[in-house]
Amino acid sequence: MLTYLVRRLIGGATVMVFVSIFVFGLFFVLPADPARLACGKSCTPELMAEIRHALELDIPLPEQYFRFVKGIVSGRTYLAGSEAQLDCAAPCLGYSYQTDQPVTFLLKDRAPATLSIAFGASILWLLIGLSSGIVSALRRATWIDKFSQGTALAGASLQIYFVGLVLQFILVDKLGWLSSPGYVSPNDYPMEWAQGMILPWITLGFLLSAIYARLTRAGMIEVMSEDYIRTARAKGLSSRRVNFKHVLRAAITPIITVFGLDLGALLGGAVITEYVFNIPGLGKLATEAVSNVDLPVIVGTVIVAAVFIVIANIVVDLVYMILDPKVRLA
Amino acid sequence: MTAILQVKDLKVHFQTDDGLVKAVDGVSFEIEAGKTLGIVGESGSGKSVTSLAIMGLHKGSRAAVSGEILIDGVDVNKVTEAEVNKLRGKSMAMIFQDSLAALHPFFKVGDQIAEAYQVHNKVSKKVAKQVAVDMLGRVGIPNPTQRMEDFPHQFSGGMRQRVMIAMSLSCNPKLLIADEPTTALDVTVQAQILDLLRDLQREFGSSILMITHDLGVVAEIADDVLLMYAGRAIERGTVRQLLKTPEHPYAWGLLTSIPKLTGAANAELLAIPGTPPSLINLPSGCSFSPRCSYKDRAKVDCESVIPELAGVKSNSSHLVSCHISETERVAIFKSEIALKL
Repeated sequence: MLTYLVRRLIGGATVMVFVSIFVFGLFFVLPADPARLACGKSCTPELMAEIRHALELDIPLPEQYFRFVKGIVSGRTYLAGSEAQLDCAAPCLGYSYQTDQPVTFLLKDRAPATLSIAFGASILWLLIGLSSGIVSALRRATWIDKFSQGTALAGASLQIYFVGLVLQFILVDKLGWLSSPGYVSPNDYPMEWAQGMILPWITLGFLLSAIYARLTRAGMIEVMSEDYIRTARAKGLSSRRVNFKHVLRAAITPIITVFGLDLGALLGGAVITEYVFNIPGLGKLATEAVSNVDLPVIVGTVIVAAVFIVIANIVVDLVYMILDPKVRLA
Repeated sequence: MTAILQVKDLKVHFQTDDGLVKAVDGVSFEIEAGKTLGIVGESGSGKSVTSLAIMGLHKGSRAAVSGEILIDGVDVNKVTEAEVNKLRGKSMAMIFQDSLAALHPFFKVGDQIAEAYQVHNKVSKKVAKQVAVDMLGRVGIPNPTQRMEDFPHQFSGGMRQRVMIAMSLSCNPKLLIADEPTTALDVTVQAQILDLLRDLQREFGSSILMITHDLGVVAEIADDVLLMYAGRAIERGTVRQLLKTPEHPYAWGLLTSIPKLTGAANAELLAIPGTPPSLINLPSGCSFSPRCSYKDRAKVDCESVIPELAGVKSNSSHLVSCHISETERVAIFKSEIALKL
């Protein structure tokens, strides 16, 4: 178990090294010159040279990459020894070209909003998806099944920016049941936080639950035809116990995997949801950075998203080891 | 002798897109206390479908089951699934061919056995687990207390089948249905499992319904045999009657097709000509008639009239469904079949 974990962590670190090389390469593959981007509107050649020096773009590439990685691991100091010396504590990802704020600060500032969305939406989509999938599987070919599968198909086909805006129009503008979506800190204003989050949760939860409903239904139906379910029935177990213990236990395992990966991807930024509901999360930060070609922020958001996905993968595999005894020994 | 199980005119039909599949079409038999009945037939003869019908496991599927299945005075076919659940495990239990597929991959074997015991006995988890240890020990699994905690895939095929047997016998059922329990096992392990079943039968006093296509298994363990072909019973009698003086041309074909160790090394292997009929388009009359080499010896048109299962004159416990007269059959057996057995 421990060796496995260590092996996976090393694997994850390797992936992160490749991701960091890749995003670092962005600086130089793009036609835009980072120094020019950071220079702003009233730019002179002298200023640009100064910035080039300040951003340490005038040293050899491998050295630049080394300092970039060192910045993440143990912090770095720009313009060391000079008057304008700038200490950037680890994990240092540089400074935004737009606002001059440290990228790490921006990421920390935006993460809670994304976490809030992911937290509520994931509970919602798991609850809705699993329960509607289970009901569908147990009441196969009845109107409940058809209704639930039809809803799931609609959910899987529709887009956040459609459903989100329609729901907002109906629930906020017309009926006035909800206040406008937005983000406030749950520590300071828990009620307002929940109110502002309900619409993003419902929208994202509904759309993603569609996939889970279909997965659960298909998984349950497949497991129901397994020999060991026939054995469970032959033992004299009630159909409730057969379905909710024996069938569900086997059907839920692959769903947990998908859930972990979806959650990991979402934590890196619920891009469209944040954009549609104007929630200041990591996804919105990323889209803003892209439209402003704010390279350090782009790099930061990509790395954070990659970290979440790598961690989610490791967690999913560990959970799988607990859920599936056959994987344990392998 | 009292019959533990009575099956009368059992029919199991499946409606499919291609037509009505008559998997079992009017089968009757009974099993007496402590006895073993072997149901023999090739794939598709309806033997497994029959066993599933007895357990009521066709309920909730597309199968149309008719006829009477009496066990403990209850007609399995007439009661609800909840009623059958009281019988399953307790009055009748079943073991399956593929023990790896038949045990839940995610639960420890000890828990699976304890669960089977707890369904019918109001005891604590602890007591049920003790029963599981006890049962595992009785079916010959070494270190049962430790093996309890293992998962099915951690056992060998033979040991896993022992786990299945332990689970099925945990509530001391009157009838044990074994659906090809040894087919997936090595020959040596096969013999061990059959020995185990026989010992446990003596110990528990259960009746066994042994479903198999292996005449060797039947010879080993059964008291009586029911021979099935295309969903119908075509011959029934004691093991001795079936193996020594078979009456049906299909039984002749089966027995003469067994290769002899004593024969010439290059002796031709005998086979029954043709293939089993489709269960959707059964031949009218005797379903075996298209493959029967002796049908011209019958006085009735085999291809239009279905023969009844009737007792032979010499011994009314030996039943056969064939249009060829008994004297004629005896003559054929003496002149052509006996030599090849």
